[in-house]
Amino acid sequence: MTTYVILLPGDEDAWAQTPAAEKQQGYAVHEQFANALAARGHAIVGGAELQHSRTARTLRQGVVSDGPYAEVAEQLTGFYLVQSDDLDDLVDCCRILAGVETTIEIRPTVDHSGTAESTDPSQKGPRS
Amino acid sequence: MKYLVLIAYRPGGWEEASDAQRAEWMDDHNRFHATVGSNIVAGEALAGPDAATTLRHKDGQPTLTDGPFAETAEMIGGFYVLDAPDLDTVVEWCRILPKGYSLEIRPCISMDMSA
Repeated sequence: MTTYVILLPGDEDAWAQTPAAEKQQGYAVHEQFANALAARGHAIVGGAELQHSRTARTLRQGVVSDGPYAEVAEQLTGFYLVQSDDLDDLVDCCRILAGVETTIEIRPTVDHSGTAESTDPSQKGPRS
Repeated sequence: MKYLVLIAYRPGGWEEASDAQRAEWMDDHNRFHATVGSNIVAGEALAGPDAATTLRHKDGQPTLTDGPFAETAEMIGGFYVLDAPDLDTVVEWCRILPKGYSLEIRPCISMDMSA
């Protein structure tokens, strides 16, 4: 089993202006996605919807500033953590989110399960 | 309240670092774990951006490409999800992490998708 992170970048301002009823439809698509993952042997082990990037704070060299770390057109709006044995099928499941998520990045995590501190994201430091 | 801490780093930084520098960064992470303890809800180190797959939809048509969704000077190398009473607490905790990172701290909307 590999744990994958599914990053959901998008147009946060457009989402903020979306009427509540339409948002509910969006959440329903995410529910379909979650159901499909469960039915097809993938396990969601974490995830969250993020507040707008204007609420972010960035810590750089000990200095705190308001806003996200990078000014990019698509800001991260949410993510899932999914355990899976089948990346291709996981990507297929992600197609369910078409229409509500224009861009989806799927990236494997580094396995630290053999170490004492399996929740440490940089046990071996960041890799490039 | 849950907060996402995105760990952004300059690609190549780890490879170029000395053993002593790496050991110092490891110590920083260990101190972070000792301090934050069970308030760490999740955390993962990500494989490099070249291992990423990006799925985009244009006019309903899916397109798969290799690589991350955005090419930026600093890349996301990992993250933590932390449970904290407020943002200031998270900022103080994050000061323990290696100084070479850029850390973006963002509140989560309280609708947990985990099982």
